[in-house]
Amino acid sequence: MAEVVEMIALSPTMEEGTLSEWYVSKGDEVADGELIADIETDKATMEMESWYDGTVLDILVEPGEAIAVGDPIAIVGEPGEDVSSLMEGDDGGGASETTHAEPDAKADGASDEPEHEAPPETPSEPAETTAETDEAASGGTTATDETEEDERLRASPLARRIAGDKGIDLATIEGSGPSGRIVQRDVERALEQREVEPSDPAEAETPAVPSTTEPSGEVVAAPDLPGEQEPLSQMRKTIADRLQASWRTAPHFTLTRDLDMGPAMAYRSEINEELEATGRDVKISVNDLIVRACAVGLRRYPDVNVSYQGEHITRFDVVNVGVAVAVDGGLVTPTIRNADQKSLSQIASESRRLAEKARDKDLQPEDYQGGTFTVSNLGMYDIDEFMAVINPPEAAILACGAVRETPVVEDGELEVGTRMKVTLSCDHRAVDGAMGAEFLAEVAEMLERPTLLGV
Amino acid sequence: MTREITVREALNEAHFEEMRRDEDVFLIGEEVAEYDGAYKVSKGLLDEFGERRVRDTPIAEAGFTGIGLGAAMEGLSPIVEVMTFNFAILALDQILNNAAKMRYMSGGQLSCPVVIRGPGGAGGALGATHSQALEAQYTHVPGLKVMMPSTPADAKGMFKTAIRDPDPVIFIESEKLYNVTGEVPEDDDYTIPVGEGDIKREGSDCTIVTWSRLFHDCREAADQLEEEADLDVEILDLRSLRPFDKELIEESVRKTNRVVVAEEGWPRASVGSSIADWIQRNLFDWLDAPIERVHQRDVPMPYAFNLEAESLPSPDEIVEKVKQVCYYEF
Repeated sequence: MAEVVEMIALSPTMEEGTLSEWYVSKGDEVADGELIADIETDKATMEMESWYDGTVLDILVEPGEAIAVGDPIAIVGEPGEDVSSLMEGDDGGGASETTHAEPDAKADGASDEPEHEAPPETPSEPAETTAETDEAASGGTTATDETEEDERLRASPLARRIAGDKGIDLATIEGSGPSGRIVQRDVERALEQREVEPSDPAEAETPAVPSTTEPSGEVVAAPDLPGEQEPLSQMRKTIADRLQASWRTAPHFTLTRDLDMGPAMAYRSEINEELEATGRDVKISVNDLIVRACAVGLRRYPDVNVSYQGEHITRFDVVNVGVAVAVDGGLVTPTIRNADQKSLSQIASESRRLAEKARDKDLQPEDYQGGTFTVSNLGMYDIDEFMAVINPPEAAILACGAVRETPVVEDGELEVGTRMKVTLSCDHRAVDGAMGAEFLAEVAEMLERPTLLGV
Repeated sequence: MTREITVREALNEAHFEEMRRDEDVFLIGEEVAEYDGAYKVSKGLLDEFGERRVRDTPIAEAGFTGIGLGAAMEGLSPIVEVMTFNFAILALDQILNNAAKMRYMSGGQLSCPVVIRGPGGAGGALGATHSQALEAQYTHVPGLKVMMPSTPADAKGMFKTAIRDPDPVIFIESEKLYNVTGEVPEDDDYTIPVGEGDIKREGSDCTIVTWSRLFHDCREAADQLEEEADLDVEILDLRSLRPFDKELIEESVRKTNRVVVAEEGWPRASVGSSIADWIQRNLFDWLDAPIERVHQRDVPMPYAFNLEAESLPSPDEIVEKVKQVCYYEF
């Protein structure tokens, strides 16, 4: 009887693992306890052993693929066995119920606990059984509708009842049980989160995300030293939640460029003089130039104006550039919508208005939601260069240092240059190095030939 | 007032008290008289009550069980001791077809107030035929009552109830519990109603439903869980398997939302499986995890001590299952 080898949880928090290396290939014989693969977990690379004796009949995933805990990765059985039914069954949620999902199940042995019996002998049965179970459970979806079966929300009956009583949408909760099952504690956590949410909308500056885990879910205990405990503000919680999620899920890589800002600074002075001379109440900042350059650059390189969505990548039609603004107790990123279609003076007055609203804690959801890219500038703090954490669900963020005079070599001569270092952080799931570099080159070109910004 | 005595002494006391209270109570079985019983539960009874009420029988379970049933139908209150419940298999026809059916098939004209008692379960290297936990055989049958005590106080209070009950009661003791000591009330009328469970340890994280010998393993497991995992386990000693205390189970499960059912016997068609079935059908919306079970391996009991230990459920297994339903590893 062929057995499906599943991804197992190799660490307590592991939800999926990346198969980094196979030690067996199709046709190899394996023994119970034999090392079959290396799995990269959220914590480390771990060795995975076979629980079955037999021949590897099929390898279902390639090295580098990320596999959720409980999903099939290989089939072990007798040579020549028909495994087509097992493969079909794998798509349904039921497969993991009938096979050993945990290492300890194996230790019990099939004979001592018939409840954990291997799937029925008839090759066609497991698939049918799976389909029936899922059909019944999801209230009559067709057995062939595999997508719906996969997306079935797992929750304990108690969790469902509490969520129903309290009016919480289970879909917004992340489950902490086996196979992501939502259990009582997850719903209670979500309820606590909801209770501490402020009634004053001004407090909720940053984009609201479903609060799935406690922001400080995994922390190292503080040493026992004198000090006080400051409760987390909602803004702090949201920042912690979102950036923790970003840092954990988005593989960041960074690209740094040293830009010649001489022409841009001259251009800016010229514009500001003209604006002042003509009595226009607006002033262009360096940051406005950068926002404009990024917006135009994103229009030319739409593959950076994206969001990684697991099953697909969303490429946005609009370019909405967020500007990180430090405020009392945290930071927010008000968004300049359709920034690629706005002139420098429009960008300047809009970002001024939004920054003021941000400091007054008066931002409305439409002011901060829907960003597709973010600019973070610490130039005013005299920072040379830094790396910013991507603001999810965006795919990139540009971190800008101070514009400063610095020795540079031009045509073999040492000269005094006006320079700024910028660092682009990209989500490698959606944006590759070359793409990021091309986009950054475009931004550099716009800033180094600033008349292009007015075009 | 209480005093500390063993399960064996508690049962012995109950025999004395009930036989003194009611002249119709008598004891019949193999070696119950001259030898004081294979496990000395009937020690001293022959001296006080004489041969008329304490009777040794040939090795013929179907025969002497049938005598007990007939006496019960005629209005006496017999106690039939089976040397172990492994041997009561020979009397199953009497118990299932006669004792359990008499009131029903006579349209209420006859009753059969017999108590069939003796040890069940593993005793320690007694081999495959003498180590069985067979409570499921009786719990399966409408018309019988089934009781299994875990402590001296329960043994005494439940056995006195069994004798006074108007229906056939299967009273299964555990060979390994006869020497267990505990506080027992000094009260000739201390009885525990049929069908009443007992919360022997209060807790909030998980309910373990158990009975008889396994209760002691559960208590050990609960202490371990409290210490190493900070899990607060409630232990519900079912005591009566038929009827069983649905109200108490409901109360406990509504509080803890997680259940492990622990029993000594085999997993299939067992008392534990039927309890788990009842809970999932009636308390589904209160469950936060699938009900887990702890039970004997599904094999005939090995003779060797080490293999017997491997076959029986252990405190470690209970610990593991409780952690599982509490999502402790997740």
